[in-house]
Amino acid sequence: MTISKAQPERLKTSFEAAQEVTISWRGLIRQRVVLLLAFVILLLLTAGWALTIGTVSLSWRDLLLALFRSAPSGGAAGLAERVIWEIRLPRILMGVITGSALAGAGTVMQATLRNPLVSPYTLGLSAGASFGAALALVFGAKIFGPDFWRLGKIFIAAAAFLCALFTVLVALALVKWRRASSGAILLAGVALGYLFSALVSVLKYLAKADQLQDVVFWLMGGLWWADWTMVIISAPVVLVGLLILFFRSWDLNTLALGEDVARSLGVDTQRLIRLTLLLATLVASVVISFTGAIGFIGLIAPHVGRYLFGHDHRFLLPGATLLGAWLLLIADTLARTVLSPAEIPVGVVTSFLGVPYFLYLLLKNPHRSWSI
Amino acid sequence: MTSLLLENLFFTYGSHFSLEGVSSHWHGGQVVAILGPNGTGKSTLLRALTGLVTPKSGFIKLNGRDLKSYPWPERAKRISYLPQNDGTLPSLPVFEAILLGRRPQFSWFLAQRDLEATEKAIRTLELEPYQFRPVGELSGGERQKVFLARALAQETEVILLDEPTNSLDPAYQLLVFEVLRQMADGGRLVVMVLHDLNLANQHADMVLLLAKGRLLAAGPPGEVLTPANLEKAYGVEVLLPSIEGKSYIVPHRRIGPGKGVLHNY
Repeated sequence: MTISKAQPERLKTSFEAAQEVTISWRGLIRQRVVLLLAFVILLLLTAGWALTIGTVSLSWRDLLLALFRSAPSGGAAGLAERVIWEIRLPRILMGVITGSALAGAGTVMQATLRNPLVSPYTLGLSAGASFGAALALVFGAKIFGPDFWRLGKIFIAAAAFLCALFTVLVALALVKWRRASSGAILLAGVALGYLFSALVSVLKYLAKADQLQDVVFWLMGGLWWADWTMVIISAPVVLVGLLILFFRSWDLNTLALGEDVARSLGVDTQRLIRLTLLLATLVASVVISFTGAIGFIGLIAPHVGRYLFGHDHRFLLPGATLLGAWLLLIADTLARTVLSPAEIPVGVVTSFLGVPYFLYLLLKNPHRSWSI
Repeated sequence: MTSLLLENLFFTYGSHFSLEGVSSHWHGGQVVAILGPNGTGKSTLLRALTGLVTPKSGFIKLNGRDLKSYPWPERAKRISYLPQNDGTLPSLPVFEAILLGRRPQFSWFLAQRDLEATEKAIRTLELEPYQFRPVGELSGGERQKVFLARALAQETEVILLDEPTNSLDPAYQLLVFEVLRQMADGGRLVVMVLHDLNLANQHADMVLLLAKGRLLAAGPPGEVLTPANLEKAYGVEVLLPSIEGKSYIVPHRRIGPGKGVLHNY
């Protein structure tokens, strides 16, 4: 029969095709791993560079000596050590933590809510945090009196964190009790955001001139207050949060097929959405409670991450996280050095650098589906 | 052998829709088609079989065990589902969209077996040229093939398909039925919602005809798809011409009220 003659050849080509696909898939995976390692090295080098520049400029030799010498030294070397350990290192670490947290949270929230416009702030997080901080700045001094500034930073952060978390709990309650669609969750978040923005305006109206200045400064967002306390509080939360999210990578991947199919593939989607939204917002809330709302990183890093690392969250999540950390580190280093000793708000730098690049990417690939 | 037992299922949805008294028993090796007019609950019934919808009363037993008692991941190893409106994100590459059908089979690392199953599904539906392109760039028919390939790659004993031949050209419609028949011959149970009376007539071993909120008839296509039943279900008069010994169903004209009103356009 003609069929039996043709079959061995067809089988052979199919087998070869199968091998080709397996090879190209494995090749793609290898490419992504290499790219991830490259970003780790890039981040470390950038951090090293950032440690050397500033109002006091240091050589790489000073830097290595200061980082790895055990006993404190006096004189010029002592100054270098103090600059690095007390000022630049905490700030750089806080930049890396904040960038990772915002990018990681943005990536996860876009996947969970299946919406490309989502950032960690969409569910009213930044407005909530801003309200909490403004409340603490305006009324804190009254409650604590002259001691306020000693307790200040942590108190402001705690107030910002609680208010940010409140907005998220509303969204989660919607998921849990009303089984709300992602559209409903988003709209509720955006609406709450408006409410809190209005409340911030009320506080601004009530604030005295010096308080108003503090509020405006906080609202701009930045890393100028960064210190070791912030690093020690936020690092574990961000690290553990992002790790748990990373281990849900495959489940996040299945959400790309729609909730029904994800459930038919064995994923408890309602639980997954609750868990990931809670963790992502927790991670983002912790950092923005200290730094204020730094815009753009949480929106752009996931998109550029998807462009570079693909859709598989096993690579996308670490990739976008590294990307966010790197972007914020560069932006903050420029923010504190370009007009040194004066500073530019880091949000201004992220937008000035990031928006043109992002627009370039969009215009280069206008027909690519930038959905998520 | 795989068996799926539906006993006296009752559904309500909103205030105007209900479906009651659906009982049937299917087993591996069968191709089952669920037919009925729009809005009779065909898709709801199929979703209930995946566990996405819980019936108000009655029960579904898979291999003698209540479907509800299977944890989600266990169920996913046994039942695959192709929804009517697939929500796959347009930016997802075809290969990954199909590979994810293997999700129930692995925990973190992919095995060679998973890549092979994906590749086999891609080959079967001739998706090689598009496999690294985003799903959103494909035509409706190609996309439907991707979703179908994902259900095939899952390699489950029960396959539930909601209008699997939607937007496929005739050659692929026939291919899909050949593939499904092969799977049934391999001992799997294939259940699908269909609108095409002829495809059901020719390819199904068993047909369920739903109408007016209940199961109108169930059995082999020749016994169920009779002019009387079809008239009752759809309000349509059908002709049954016979070509080369096979009979075909041709909807001829609408009869009776309640099936749309013709205005002057």
